[in-house]
Amino acid sequence: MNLWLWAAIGMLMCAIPCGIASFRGEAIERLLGLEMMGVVTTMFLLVMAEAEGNPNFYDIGLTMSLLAFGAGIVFTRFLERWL
Amino acid sequence: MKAADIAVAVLLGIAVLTTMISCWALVLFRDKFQRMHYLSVVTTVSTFSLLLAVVVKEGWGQATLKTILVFFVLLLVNAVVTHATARAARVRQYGNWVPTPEEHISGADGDR
Amino acid sequence: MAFVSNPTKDELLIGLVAALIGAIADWDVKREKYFKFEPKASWLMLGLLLPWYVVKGSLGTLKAFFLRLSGGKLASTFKVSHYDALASDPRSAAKRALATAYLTIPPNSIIVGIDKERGRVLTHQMVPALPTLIERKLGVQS
Repeated sequence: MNLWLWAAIGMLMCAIPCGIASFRGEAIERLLGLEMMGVVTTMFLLVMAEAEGNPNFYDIGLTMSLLAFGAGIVFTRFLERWL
Repeated sequence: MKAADIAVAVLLGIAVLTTMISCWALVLFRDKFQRMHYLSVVTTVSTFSLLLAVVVKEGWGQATLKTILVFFVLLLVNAVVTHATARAARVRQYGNWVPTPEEHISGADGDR
Repeated sequence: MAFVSNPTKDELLIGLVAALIGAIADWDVKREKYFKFEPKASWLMLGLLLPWYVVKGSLGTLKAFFLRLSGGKLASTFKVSHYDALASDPRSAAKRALATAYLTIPPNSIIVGIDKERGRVLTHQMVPALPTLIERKLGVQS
């Protein structure tokens, strides 16, 4: 166990409040839980890259950040106009 | 422990702590607009602390370059998504995001 | 190529093809003039002030968290200000885009929208704050 692995566990623990937020309240409030989880997942992947010494996780983290943006925008647009 | 290890520990601690606080803020706050502000805390403070930790550990290499890119992507992307989400929240609540006189918002003292 | 860090012939060829596709797409989008964005250099330089506002906003937002935790009352509020860049030219569009980005990046404020018809901008602030230099330079008038 190194420092980075502990940090990764800490980041993973942040999934609990994000999950709670995604299960409560109206649609926009749940969307915030999803958006936060997207950012937390990106950071988790960056931390895991250092923890495991596997540089491929950096690329996955970068991809995740872009995909989280796309998801956020699509959901927001749907919630604003049609749902 | 070397100075670099202590620096990495502190920076990772800041990153994890601010992320946890921001995530629990989503549960603690009732108002959705108050919750939205905490997305920015994660993408600015937490991600920057993580970036510094990577710089201290790896120096100026591929890993740092990619982390810098992720930092700037998250920074810009979050601004757009937060703005869009805030707008969508008002549209869903009031039918239009433009403030109405009934809301008594400060500064909304009539049209130009 | 910068991210793969493996300059073999195959990787170079694939990178070249991808770059060509990107360049053609960029040329086509710019030809259609979908997006108008011509900021002044001074507006872009305002981004250098962002770290200060990010730190200030983060401290205020984190303080609000602990205030909420202790049961205190928060002063978060919507605010309407006058806005001056309302035209459809590329310069005004750039000013509006930068104002939205620069004022939403710091944790304390979120730009909800800019009403071009009435010349107003709606902001949500976690902790009510005085108008910042970035706001004044990018057209927000209190």
